[in-house]
Amino acid sequence: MADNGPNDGDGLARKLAALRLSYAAKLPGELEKIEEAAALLGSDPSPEEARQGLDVLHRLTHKLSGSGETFGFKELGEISRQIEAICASMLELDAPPPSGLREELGVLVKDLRTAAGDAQDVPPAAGEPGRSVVEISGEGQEKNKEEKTILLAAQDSALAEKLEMELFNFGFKVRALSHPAEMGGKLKELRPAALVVDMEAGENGPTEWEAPECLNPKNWGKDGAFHCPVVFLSASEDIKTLLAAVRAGGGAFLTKPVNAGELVDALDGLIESDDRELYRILIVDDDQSMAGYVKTIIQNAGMNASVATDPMKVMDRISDFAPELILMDLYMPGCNGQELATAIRLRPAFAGIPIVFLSGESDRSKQLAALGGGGDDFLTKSISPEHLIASVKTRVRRFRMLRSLMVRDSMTGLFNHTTTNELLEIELARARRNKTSLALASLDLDHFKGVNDTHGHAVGDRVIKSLARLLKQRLRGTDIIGRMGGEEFAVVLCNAGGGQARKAMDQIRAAFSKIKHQTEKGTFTVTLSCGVAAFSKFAAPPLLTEAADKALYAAKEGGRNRVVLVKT
Amino acid sequence: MTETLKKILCAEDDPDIQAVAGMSLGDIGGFTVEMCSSGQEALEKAPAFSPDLILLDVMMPGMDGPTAFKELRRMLEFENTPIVFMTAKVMGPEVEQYKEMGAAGVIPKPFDPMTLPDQIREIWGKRHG
Repeated sequence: MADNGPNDGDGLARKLAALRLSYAAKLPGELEKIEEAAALLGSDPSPEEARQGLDVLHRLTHKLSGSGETFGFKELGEISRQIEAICASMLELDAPPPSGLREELGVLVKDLRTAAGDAQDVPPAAGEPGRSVVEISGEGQEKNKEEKTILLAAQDSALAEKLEMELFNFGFKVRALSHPAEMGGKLKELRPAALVVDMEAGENGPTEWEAPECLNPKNWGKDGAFHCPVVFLSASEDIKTLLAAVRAGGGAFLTKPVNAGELVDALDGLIESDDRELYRILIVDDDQSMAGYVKTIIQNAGMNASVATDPMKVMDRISDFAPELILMDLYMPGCNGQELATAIRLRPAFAGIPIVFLSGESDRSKQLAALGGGGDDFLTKSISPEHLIASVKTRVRRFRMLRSLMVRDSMTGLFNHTTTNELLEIELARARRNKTSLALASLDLDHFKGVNDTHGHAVGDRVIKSLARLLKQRLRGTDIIGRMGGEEFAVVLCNAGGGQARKAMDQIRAAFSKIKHQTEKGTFTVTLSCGVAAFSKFAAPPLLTEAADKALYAAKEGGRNRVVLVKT
Repeated sequence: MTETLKKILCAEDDPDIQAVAGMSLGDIGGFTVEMCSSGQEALEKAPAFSPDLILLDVMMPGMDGPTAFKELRRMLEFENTPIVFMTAKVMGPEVEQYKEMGAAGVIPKPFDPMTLPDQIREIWGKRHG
């Protein structure tokens, strides 16, 4: 089927992993719908409510029981099957469910939420049985849940050692290559998240290290089919060296002497863009075969495509599928593409989605008129698949970037102040509804002004980024991590009591205090203080934030480098 | 009917399962796959695609698998095309019912994407072996 993607085991594993990721990302939404339906059965439902709740619950859990295990979430599938079976028998009886069964359903739905929460953690890699989850408490916390392996090819062993140590501080696991001939095998064995290559031989270097011959993927043997982003390091910045790096597939190029912060930034940029969710493209075309053709092209390029053949149903499809780009035919029955694009743009939530017209229309003035209605671009149907893919990918990438700018802090990639507070409100409401626990932690770096004054802002920024990375690595995927401004951070820990949260944050505090930050003049360490407040005592978001801040203040007063759980 | 299994038409409404089934059948199985989201779409696409085998999800909104099965059997060119159901229903009587209808096989969901092509080949082999 796909002739523009590797069909070997590695390519498949990556595709499967990507599918799993995208499935896992949709679970919270599904869970919310399930919980809503279960709520209808809550207490003393009317016969209509009961019927409706069971109906919806049955449909949703049927779907999960059929798909959960396929994507590696066995427990989720099993619990769904139990709920589905209860719903099916109740629907068959056509009587209001007895309270005992309703309670059982409630418990199962809660279990389902836990199982889905676990699925939000790192999804298992292809072919690997479900990995156990990093618990908020317990020894599991010590292990980085998402340690990124970097393969380092540098002949200069002093440089290799230095990079290894510096990258380790930023949470990367570095494996150095001792001979270029190992490249293919190591790539296969380690599946590194990125490859860092020094382009020059050391002082007395044997010539086999001379880049880029040993770096040409063709020379890696068939195992080299596993492609990962490559960062090149070189002392020379001349165009010949740059071109050589580009030809060898370089994703980034840094000149020596290499600054660890720069290298980490380059790695972050390359790695992050690689393991995200699949791009979602909605194709609106009344012509089945044309839509199918476009869909195949999009899917073969590793994107998620969905087809809507009825323009009248497009709005629902947009809500369900949440496309990141819409490819639309210009002439359709009932309404034309231009009108439909305008209609889509009227819904504020949809106003930002890029719309690209795909049509046989070759008259440039008609094309331009269509763009006036809210389309972003115009492609003719005779377009080559490569051109179509490139055009779609660029736009979606940009769409994602713009969207993330609105909710994320640009330096750390964590949620920004506004988004963190919004998410806290949502999670608090959920905790109240489900009677689950929740804790809020406020963090602040100790004497950070001194770091900036002594070492400069560039070094200070790196310290902030290292804490952001540590938080992302050590906390669960379901926890909300925000940068509230300057050197202040907040973490919302769902399903965690005050004691658990304090313990988790204390582990982070201890780990952070051990990170050695590099400067030209040597290394230094920074500590943090943290205040924790648990939800059961402080119901409204402002009160909870206030309590966590008070605890943070107490931690500072108490001598810093500590975590304080607020007591009432 | 052709001897080797090359083209599979697959109808499945869940986009996640669609993606994983498409990958499994296409990339792992090496089949040419046409994906549809409903029974209706399967009926529309089948004639032009002329599949060697048809894979139908049982529960789909609109036209479900069994209805699509009956409609396909009415079309001359698909009178004898092997049709396989995929279902998350584990209860015996229904599985038997599909076989009585004339289904070539029933694949239980959730399926393992790594072995789905083998399961299909086994069903195919029984008919053509």
